[in-house]
Amino acid sequence: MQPFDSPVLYNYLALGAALFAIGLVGFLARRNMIIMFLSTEVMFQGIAINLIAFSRYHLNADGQSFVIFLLTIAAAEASLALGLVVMLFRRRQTLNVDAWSDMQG
Amino acid sequence: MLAYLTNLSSNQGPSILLMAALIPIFPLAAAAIIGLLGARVLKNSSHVLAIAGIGASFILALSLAWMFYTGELPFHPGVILDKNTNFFEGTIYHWMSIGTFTADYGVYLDPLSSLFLLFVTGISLLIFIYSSGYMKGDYGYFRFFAYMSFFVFSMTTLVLANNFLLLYLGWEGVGLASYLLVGYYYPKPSARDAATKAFMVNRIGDTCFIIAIFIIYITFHTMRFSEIFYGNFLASNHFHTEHPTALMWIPLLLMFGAFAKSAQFPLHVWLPDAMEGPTPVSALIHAATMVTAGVYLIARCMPLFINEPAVLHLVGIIGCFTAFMAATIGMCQYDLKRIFAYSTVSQLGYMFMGLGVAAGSAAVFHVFTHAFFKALLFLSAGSVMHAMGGELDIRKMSGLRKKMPITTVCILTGCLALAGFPGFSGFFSKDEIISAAMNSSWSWGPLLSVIGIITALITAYYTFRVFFRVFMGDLALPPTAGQHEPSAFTLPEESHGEAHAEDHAGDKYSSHADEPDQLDGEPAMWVPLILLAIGATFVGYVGVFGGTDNEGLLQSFLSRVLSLNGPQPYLLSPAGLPMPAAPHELVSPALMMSLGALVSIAGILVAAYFHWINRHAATIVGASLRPIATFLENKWYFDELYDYTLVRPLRMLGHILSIMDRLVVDFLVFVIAFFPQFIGHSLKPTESGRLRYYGIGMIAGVVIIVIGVIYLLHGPTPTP
Repeated sequence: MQPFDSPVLYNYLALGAALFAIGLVGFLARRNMIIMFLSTEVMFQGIAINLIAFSRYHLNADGQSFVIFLLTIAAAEASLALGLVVMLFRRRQTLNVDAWSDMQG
Repeated sequence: MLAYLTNLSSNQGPSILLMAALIPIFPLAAAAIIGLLGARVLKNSSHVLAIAGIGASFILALSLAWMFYTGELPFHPGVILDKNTNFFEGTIYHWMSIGTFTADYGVYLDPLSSLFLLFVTGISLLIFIYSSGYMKGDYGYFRFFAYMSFFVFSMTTLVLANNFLLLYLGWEGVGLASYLLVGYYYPKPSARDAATKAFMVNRIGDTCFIIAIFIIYITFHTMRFSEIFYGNFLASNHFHTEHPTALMWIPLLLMFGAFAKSAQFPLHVWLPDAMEGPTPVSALIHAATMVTAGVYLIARCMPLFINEPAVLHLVGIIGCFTAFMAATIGMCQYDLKRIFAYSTVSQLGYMFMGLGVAAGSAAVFHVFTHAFFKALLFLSAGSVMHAMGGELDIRKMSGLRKKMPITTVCILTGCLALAGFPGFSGFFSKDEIISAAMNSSWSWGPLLSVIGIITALITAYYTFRVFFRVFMGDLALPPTAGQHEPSAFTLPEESHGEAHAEDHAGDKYSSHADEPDQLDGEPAMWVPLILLAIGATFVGYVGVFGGTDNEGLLQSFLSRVLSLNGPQPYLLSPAGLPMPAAPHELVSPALMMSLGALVSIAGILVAAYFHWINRHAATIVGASLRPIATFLENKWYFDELYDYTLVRPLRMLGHILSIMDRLVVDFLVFVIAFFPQFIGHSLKPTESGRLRYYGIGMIAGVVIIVIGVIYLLHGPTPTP
């Protein structure tokens, strides 16, 4: 027996995919570092929804517990990344990511 | 066999063991404390600790020697050793254990090692006291005493060791201490070079020695002296026939090890250069103690040598040749310390000659007397150097007896002992070796003996050449006289002032350097000289009187050491092995003694004529013998020979290898490095620095991977 009908799983997966796509487009299209960073967070959540949907579908708690870790790491990474953004802003007085293109990886 | 292994009662054992264990530990502790605290805490009082450490060791060594002599330990009454006890062995702690291989930190005490301990610590004590005056105000005062104490630690470890590995530890330790002390004035390039040379030459010998130890281990499966010498190996016929090659190589390699340490013919070149160190170092290391380590090694391993007459004879021949060669070089040198250095090489040659004719106790006797008179000569030379402001050229000074009366008397005693003047210590010991060579069963013995007598003549001549040149005749001082030996170090400003303040307190003459009236230095310097002079005069008598069977005290003391004077009864020839026959009397010892006395007096008289009464004649004779003199002044061109045959070819090889390295190895490395570099360059434009292109790249990569995975899992046409 399945807890949801198959279309329901599709709905959740579609939501996750949509969130990921929005985040991706945001990341590629914007130049503001904070917005880009927010976009990566949105992508994270899209993936998290995917994981939870499958976890519920398969009645397996692994995916959900994995998401807990994912959120924790995302929080830690957020504080780090925002700190970096602040540092970068202090250097060049701008949030435009192209201002740093001279780093050339 | 078991009669030789006399056990000590267990309740007396530990006290002997403890005493023996403490002998190296006191100097080691002194070295460690001075090394750690010397720079900031002890400073100019570092010598107190060093002298205390060595003094304690000396008292212990004296007790142990007394124990072997009387059979009783002082402060521990009760007979604990019977007179036939050959040795005492004990383990202090377990050093290492690898598989079946074990090595202990243990002691091996017998008359030989207790005698060595006695004079090593005793002479070192006097030298330490002397150094406290000689090195006063030197920038590295504490460093000097730390090294010296470390040296005594290594030497006592070497002598006390109960196995070859521990002996090797001490052996390397004295090598290290010698390196540090020769290079003590390290800002001077010549001192650095001399230290390197000493170390390198010693390495050759050390390599031979360690290989010998390997062979000993694989042959005997043990490294302990007691098992090797007193065990069943050497006494069994079977063992000799089973390991003929190993039993030949062991003594041969040990011999090379001993030759490097004791500066014998092919490897003697380091010792005269080692005079770059401070003079007490020359006295301690290069005269009295360290160089005798080689003699100790061979005397200790006599049971291994005695069955290989060829190797033993090689020892004798090389010793004899070295004695002669170094004596001839000594005739034509002008540096006071260098002359004494060559005389050390020469006297060591005598010792090896004694060992070579299986007269071990005569050789050890000579080691013993030599320690006294050579330390005396070097320390006196140090006093001269100290007074003359570092000048050592005997052509620049004369008539010093008027300024340095105490030193003159002391050096005269030392010279008489070295020249073998009748009644002085060197006379008895040298004579015993020459006489033993003459009367040995070996057919070459008399030849060695004759060369020995000729060498004795040369020795008397060059010794008194120095004495008459420097101390007799009209007074002539080098311009540097009365100043201190210029230190090789530039002192920091404040300690400079401090050192000078102390100098003024200690030396009366330094305030009026223009007109020095008494240059003997302070009591710390001349008191040890007087003690050594007394020793140099009288210690010879222990080798001729006081023993049993018409022997000297020392000879009967040493007679318990296995094989020191030829094969021991139970070791006697396993069938088919050539064994030296019992000595026969070719020339009576009394005749040899008178001959020795005659030769010595003749040498002194010749020196007196040429260098005191008629110095002009020496110049004329020298000019007529110019080619020989040049040959001798250049030390038989040994340094040049080694330079052309070893140093230069090796340097050339180094250059060739360096070119090979650049052309072949570096080329390969460049070729290998080129490919990653090329790929890196070609991908460089993709790194634009624009974040979104990186993002696109990542997404594209993910998409490609996902498509690839689906393709692989489901084939080219995904099911609809």
